[in-house]
Amino acid sequence: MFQSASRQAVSTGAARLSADAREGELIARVANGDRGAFDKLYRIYYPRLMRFLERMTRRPPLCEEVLNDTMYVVWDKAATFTFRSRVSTWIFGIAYRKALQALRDLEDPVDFDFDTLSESADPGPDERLMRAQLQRILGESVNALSVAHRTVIELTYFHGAGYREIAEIMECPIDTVKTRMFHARRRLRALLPGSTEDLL
Amino acid sequence: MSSRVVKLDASAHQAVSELLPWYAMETLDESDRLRVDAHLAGCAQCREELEWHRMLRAVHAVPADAHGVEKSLAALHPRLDQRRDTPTGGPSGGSWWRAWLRSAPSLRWVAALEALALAGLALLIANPPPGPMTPSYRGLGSAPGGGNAPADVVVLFAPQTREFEMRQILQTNGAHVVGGPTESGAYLLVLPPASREAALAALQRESAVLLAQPLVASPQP
Repeated sequence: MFQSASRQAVSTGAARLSADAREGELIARVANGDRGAFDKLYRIYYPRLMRFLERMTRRPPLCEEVLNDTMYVVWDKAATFTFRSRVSTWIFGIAYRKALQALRDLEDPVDFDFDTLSESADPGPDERLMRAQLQRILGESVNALSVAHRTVIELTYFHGAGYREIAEIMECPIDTVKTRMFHARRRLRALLPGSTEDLL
Repeated sequence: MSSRVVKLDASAHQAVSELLPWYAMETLDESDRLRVDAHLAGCAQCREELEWHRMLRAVHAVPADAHGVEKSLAALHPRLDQRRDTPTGGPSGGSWWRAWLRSAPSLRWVAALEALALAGLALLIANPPPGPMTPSYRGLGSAPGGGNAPADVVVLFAPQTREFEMRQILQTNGAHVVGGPTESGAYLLVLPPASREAALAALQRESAVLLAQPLVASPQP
């Protein structure tokens, strides 16, 4: 079990390395004023950033504006990128700060009424329906977390960021990332089913 | 003595438990991953917790939606055009001749002139006249122009490549490092202008070089 995890980790790492090199090349071209390269980078990052911002802000109409503000900074400051971190870390860091800035200007209620969380439907025979229901419940549960907690959850499970990378994006110590994850996990475990058998 | 051992075990268990989300996502580095592997072999509680994280990973795996990307990109383009046309006050500030170049009505001939000037400067710096100040050694990062020359190519060496092998490859091809290493280990290089194509081809043939990609501006969409 652990050997196959090791082989998979190597293969995942190699694919990530290749994507990193491609994005590094694009950023270097953007720094030289290459609009074609910028458009390619934009299309690569749009789905991921949109998803990240939707989860972070919980306000879909705001997301396009924040996303474009983020990519504008990428265009404007590409020449200042030092290649000491991954391109994704840099871009998500900009997106995180832009989103926080946008949220500060809005009324963003942190409290969430857990009583309004939909109860899961009775288990039905359709596995896909159950998974869709669980995704909905998960989405509602994650939305109930604070901005910092749901950012850590989203970056970990959807964007595949390691804890060091998350610390860079959120500009906080590594221990803070782990603490936020600990509290987020505890709240989610209270809301979600405890085992895969319950899901399937 | 035994209470200290118990505390140590609890603390080690807690430290590994904190890593489980990233273990489930396969984003731990090698040393963390081995630590978790060793702990999981003897901890049923963590194995059960790991299954919960794998469930969370599976449920989170909803493909992101690219619908709307072209419309959003089109909305951003006017801002980009405006920014690049701004004559002064840019992030690189203004020495007066840069501001004059940027204020020219058509940027194409200006960009061509600037590229010509930079290429000439790079040639001059790459072949300095001999003198007492000419350094007798060059490190990997000591590129002509003080490391500020625009990069020609992005290169990725194989992970097991040793430093002296990298140095040999760079020296053989007249290449200099102007950026990197990035977190993924890529370097940005400047190649000799007079033999850029040949140097690039030679780099691509090197078995220790996984990737050697030229940085050429792609045509405007």
